[in-house]
Amino acid sequence: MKKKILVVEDDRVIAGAMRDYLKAYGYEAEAAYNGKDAMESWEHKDYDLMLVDVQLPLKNGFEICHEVRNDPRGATTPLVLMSAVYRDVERARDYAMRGLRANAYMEKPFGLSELLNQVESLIGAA
Amino acid sequence: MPLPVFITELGREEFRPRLRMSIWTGFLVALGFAMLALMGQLLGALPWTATPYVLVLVKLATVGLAWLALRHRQGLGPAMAMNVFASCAMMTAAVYITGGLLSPLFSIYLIEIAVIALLTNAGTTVVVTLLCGSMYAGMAIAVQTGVLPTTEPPIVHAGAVTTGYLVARLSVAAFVLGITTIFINNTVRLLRSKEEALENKTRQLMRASKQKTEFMANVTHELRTPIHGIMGLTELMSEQLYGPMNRKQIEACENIRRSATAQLQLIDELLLLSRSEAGKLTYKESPADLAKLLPGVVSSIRWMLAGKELTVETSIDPRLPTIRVDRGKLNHVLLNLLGNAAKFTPEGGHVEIRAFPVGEDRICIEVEDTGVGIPANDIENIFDEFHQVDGSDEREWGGVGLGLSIVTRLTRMMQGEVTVRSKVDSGTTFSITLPIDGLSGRVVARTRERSKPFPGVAPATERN
Repeated sequence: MKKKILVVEDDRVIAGAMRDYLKAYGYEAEAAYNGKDAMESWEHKDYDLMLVDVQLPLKNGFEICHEVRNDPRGATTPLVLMSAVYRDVERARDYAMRGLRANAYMEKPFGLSELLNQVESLIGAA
Repeated sequence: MPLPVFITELGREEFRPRLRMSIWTGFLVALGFAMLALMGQLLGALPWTATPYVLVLVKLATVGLAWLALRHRQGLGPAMAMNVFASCAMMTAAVYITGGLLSPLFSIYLIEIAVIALLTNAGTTVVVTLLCGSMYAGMAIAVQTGVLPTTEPPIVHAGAVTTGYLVARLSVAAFVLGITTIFINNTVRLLRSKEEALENKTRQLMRASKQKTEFMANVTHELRTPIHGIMGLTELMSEQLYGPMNRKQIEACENIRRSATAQLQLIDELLLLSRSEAGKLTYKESPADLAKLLPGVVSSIRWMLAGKELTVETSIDPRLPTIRVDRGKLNHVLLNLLGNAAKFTPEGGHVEIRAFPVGEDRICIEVEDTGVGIPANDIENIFDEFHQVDGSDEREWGGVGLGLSIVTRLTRMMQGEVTVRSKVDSGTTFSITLPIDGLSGRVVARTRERSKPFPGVAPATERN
């Protein structure tokens, strides 16, 4: 079975590019464009990896991170925070360094091959 | 003969309200004088003569002239000079008719001098004081030598300290003190309100500057996001994940990516500058091995060459120790210097980056190019923001001129120094010296900077 990845990103162009790229490399990837939709998708499906942008409408990336971690199903789901805003990147780094809340952070803009490396290091190749 | 600056300065626009004030004071003093004279005569302290009223009329005439000159902005200098001269002469005459050296009116000179001091400048005040003094002295000498007949002071005229004399005398004192007080009070109030207005303005400006900085941070973020999209899609296409492409198309994708990277770099520079201006740059130190770091920087500027034929050489002194430094910041500085060298060196040129120890506790990194060079009279300006040597509209070189000012800021933040030597048409060498052990364990999380025009970020110890 294909590994399932949820891309949470409000910029539809970026979300689409990430989704298409991951699909091309054999993952099953979906995109959610705001915090609320992301949590709805999370309720209905088990994901192998979450890629979460920090600045999102309705619910931000840090909130999503907390909710996923508080859900018994999400205690160990790998989660990557992404941000282009300097102070959010700092906070995301903090989240990732304390290990449990986020597994990694990526400073935008990053290359898609960089993204693929990060994904493969967390959940292995598709 | 050219007039001294303190006189010509009075013709400036900002002196107009003050000159207007001096004219109203002139009217007021003249009328007060007439009333005092009348009162003195009624109370028997002054003889019944028309002289005081003639003096008042002359003064009113010169004040009126000055007022007209101010209104019509014509002949202001001569009119004002005549008015001041007339004032001094009238006062001296008043002192003379009330007893010369024995006159109780000597203090009226003080009104004139106080008014002049508050409304004009030091030079004019000295001139007027000298004028009053010499007229008084002239009058005294004239009386003493018999040129002018002696006059009797009011006390002699009244015969004794009568009630009438006392009232007249106290009125004069009240007039002199009153006028001066009202005047000083007005002037101080005027200054206070100006000071307040200035303080408000300063607060407003500071707020505006803060808002600008925040706006910059937001805007640069918004500018970065679309680039992320452009780069992502380009990458998807050039990996042919959206279907096969021919060579031309792949090349076009590569060029799109290069342009987007250049744009991103510029935005990052602006972001860095605005964060540095807001005092929000953080400093993180860790050990760095330059033998590993420099080749990495060199390889990451290859894209900037965009096919330009340049040789880039790296040489590292084997004695070079590991240093403690903020690697991100050092990286940024070197990228900027190398990028600059690559940009200003023509095809076939040579760029060299070398690192070597200097003395016991510092190292030096130099970036040398065989480029166009910097003219000697421009060298001191190159670290200014937005400065490029050729400021003309048809500049040969692109860019906004932020790079070197950022280099200075970051280097200072790392307790380092930037120097440059250059020769037109033969090349430029930028040298950066850095301490080996970083900030020596000093904890500097945030540095605030305000200094202009060379706004280096200098933690712990302020330079320049």
